[in-house]
Amino acid sequence: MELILQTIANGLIASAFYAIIAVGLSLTFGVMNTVNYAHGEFYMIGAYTVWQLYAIHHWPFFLAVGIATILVGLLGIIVERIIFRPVRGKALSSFIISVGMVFIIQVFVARMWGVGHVKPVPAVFKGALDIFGVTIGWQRVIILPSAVIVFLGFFYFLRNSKWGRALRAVALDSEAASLYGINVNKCAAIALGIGSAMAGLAGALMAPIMSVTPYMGHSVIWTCFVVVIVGGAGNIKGTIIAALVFGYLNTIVSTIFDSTVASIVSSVFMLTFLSIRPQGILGYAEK
Amino acid sequence: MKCNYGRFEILFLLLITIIFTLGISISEPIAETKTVNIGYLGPLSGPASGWCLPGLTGVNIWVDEQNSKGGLKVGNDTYKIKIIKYDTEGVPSKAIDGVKKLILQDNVVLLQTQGGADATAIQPFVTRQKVIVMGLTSDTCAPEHPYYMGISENYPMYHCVSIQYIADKYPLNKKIALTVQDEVSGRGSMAWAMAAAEANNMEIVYSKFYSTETTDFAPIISAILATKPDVVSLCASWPEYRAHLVEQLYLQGFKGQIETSEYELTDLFAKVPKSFLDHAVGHYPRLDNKLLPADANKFYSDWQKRYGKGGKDDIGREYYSIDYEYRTQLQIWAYGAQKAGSVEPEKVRNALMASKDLPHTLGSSNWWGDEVFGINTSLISPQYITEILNGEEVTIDKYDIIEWYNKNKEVTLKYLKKYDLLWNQR
Amino acid sequence: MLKLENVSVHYGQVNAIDDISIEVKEGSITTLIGSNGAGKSTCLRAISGLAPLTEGKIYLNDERIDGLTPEQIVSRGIVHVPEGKHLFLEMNILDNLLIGAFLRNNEDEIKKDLNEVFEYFPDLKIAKNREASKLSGGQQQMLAIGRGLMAKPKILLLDEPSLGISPLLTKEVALIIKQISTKNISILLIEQNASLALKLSDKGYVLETGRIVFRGTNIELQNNEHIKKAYLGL
Ligand SMILES: Nc1ncnc2c1ncn2[C@@H]1O[C@H](COP(=O)(O)OP(=O)(O)OP(=O)(O)O)[C@@H](O)[C@H]1O
Ligand SMILES: [Mg+2]
Repeated sequence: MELILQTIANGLIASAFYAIIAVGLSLTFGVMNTVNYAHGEFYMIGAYTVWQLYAIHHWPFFLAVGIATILVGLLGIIVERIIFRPVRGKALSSFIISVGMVFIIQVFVARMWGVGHVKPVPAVFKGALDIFGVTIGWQRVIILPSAVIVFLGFFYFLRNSKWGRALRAVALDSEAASLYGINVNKCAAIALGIGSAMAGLAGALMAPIMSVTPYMGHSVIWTCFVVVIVGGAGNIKGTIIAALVFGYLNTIVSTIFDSTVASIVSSVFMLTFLSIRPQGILGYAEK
Repeated sequence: MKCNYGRFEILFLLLITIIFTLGISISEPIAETKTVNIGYLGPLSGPASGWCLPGLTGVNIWVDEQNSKGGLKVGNDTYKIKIIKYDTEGVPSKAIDGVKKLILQDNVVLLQTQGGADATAIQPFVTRQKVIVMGLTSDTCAPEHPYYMGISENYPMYHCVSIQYIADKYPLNKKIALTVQDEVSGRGSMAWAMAAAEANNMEIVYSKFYSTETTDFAPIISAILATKPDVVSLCASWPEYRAHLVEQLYLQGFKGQIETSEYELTDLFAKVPKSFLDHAVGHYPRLDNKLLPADANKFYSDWQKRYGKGGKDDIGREYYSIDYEYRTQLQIWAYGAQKAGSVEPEKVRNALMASKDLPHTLGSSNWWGDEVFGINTSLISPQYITEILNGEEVTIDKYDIIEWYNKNKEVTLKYLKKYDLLWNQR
Repeated sequence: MLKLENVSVHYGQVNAIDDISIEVKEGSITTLIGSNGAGKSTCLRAISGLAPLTEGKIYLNDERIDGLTPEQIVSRGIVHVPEGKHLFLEMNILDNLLIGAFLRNNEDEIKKDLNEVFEYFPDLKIAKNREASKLSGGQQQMLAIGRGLMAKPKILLLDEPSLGISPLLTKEVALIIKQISTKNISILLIEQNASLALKLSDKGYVLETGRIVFRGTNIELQNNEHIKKAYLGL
């Protein structure tokens, strides 16, 4: 019984973590219509920022997280402007350039701060939340309210603000959007900015409980790609649901069997799911 | 434009000429005395450099000591020792380039390596050239690698005696859970720990491997703790995984005893309180402990004087085990050379293999391994057991792995076979 | 008011329109008729900045607007309601209409125009929170026109508003187009339904394989034998 409750809690936290990163990826994909393969590296930069500011320079943790989020968001905007915009609409070039960015960022970070040792980021909250015989470290607990707040704010923005509406319009039909004066470039920059900021936030919050290395983006981004694809690329609600599905799938399978089996099961699940419902969980069955 | 181009080319040629003449004049022999070259081949940069780069401290101390005495006496000759480094960046193809350069150009008589992938990659070449290779670990020992010797550590065999120690000293801790990443040395550590658990009639409540791609360790620990273990062995978990596992054990309320290869205490105590690790069992002694030979104690104080805080070459970090591990390779090699009366690799190897009670930094050591590796080229040194007490790793006991193995051969071979680790299963 | 001078557009090798000159007078309804593939849509795409010109010039009140971005053109009051509606199907009616008003900042005026659109199309008001994908074809056409109106056009470019809707609804839409034109909005209307187009318009052009073959007042065109035969089926 205790193990079941603990697994439910573990799964919820894992899902929230995947959701933040995957929603950011899904948003950029929806609006820009290209995949930002360096999304995982943005997550890594978020973690490195917290390592620098909080672990090395002893700034307050949440200040460091805030700065990391904004910094990675700005980085996203810059990257849109100087990297993605010139190759918009050229599928092969944007693929190459975005994969290239993965290596450039990794090598840059590795050169700058070295690779040998995992960067230690002390836990901010050493204790654990203990309810109904379930224990979750506080450091992990905070990812949940953070995800909820981020998503509520994000949905409010999409629904009720002019630019939020514009982002949705560009995602649905960028040519029609441009006919009504929506600047598609600006929307792409906003989307990559917000999406990257989410990756940065996840990296920043998780820095104390993840291994901070130049390659840490690799290990999460695969799962996040799967989540985005199953969620119906560009579909935010579908992405969140898919994050829950895969968060729980991973957690339950690694509890009962082990994590090797879990990653196999996830991939098999994705393939079967996509062969049955290629448009994703909530995708519209458009012709 | 054309004129500019010409000038540039001339400049370039000039530069190349200068570099060449400089290079030649530098490589011209200056010293008259006999010198023997030793290759230090391994990742001096990159992710794996932590296993190689620090070892140079101990090597420098030993080499400087020999050379300041005028050199190492071998037979009728006295040799100055020269270490020639080669950075492989942990890339096996670079190791192959490196070994060719070191053997063909520098005529090294010994290659010091970390072991593992680098050491395995160079085996065909060194076997043809008949040059000795020494490594930290024994995973490269094999009949087809007759010139490889696993010298420095008893990794990962030592898990048998740490579990034995728990059984001896904490007989009430009966239920044991084991987990480690799914790769060769992880499986090796699991096999030896399981063998010891079974040999002592402990109840194995959990024994599963986790993927090397794991990012979330909470579910693994939840599953382990649901089995209510008294002891959790993280076996030879890699350092970054160990930190997450230990943190989750703490957060999910584990109250029992932990066993694992080693403890990166600064990193761990950033995540868990010091008291949480009390009585956790490890394997790496600090060399100033009275249980260790006087030579080890002396080395420790030499190291502190030279590389420690305020020392001549203050290296800006704490002492740790890698510091002595390449030094002990040199000690063993020098012992063999002196016995053989020659630095010729083939003779040194034969002299070494014929010896007993070799002078390892950690104490007198013996060859072992034919039943597991198919060849007796694994040097087993005395195995120390440490416990964490009040946030410090304290050496408290000493075991003999060969003796333990001889007593528990059957069960050990059973588990090694189960995980496909025996030499004839490869 | 709007003038195309010797405009040509190529899609790669395909010469979609060739040396076309059109004029839309203030407050008038001008129509462009032609069969499938004649290049009608391409004309509108050239005007709204979606299709780059290979040759020619486009003027709005003596200002050259070819080469401007769609965003700059719409901000000058030229609003394109594209063929096939291009609604934002997963957004609701209200959001679709508000996208139309994207470049405008005066909330009161936007509200006023919104009410006006709802007066033209009461159906939209009732269903204003419904997703556009769930509307009927006719309602979707109304939404497309309504969204165009929300951009406060001086010139409205309508691409086949009768496409795929019932004859009854077509009449209703025609009525509304007429009504819009009385509010000092010039209209450039594309239709395959030539008789409807000619009834509505003041002036028209006939396009065949990318070239203008006839131009004239609606009366002149209605009486032209070729047009009678080829487009009006008389
Ligand atoms: N994107 C495009 N790429 C290549 N050729 C195109 C493209 N769009 C249109 N064309 C070609 O240009 C010509 C004119 O097309 P256009 O869409 O302007 O015709 P239309 O008069 O609007 O036809 P319809 O009545 O079917 O809408 C056609 O031959 C068409 O095949
Ligand atoms: Mg058309």
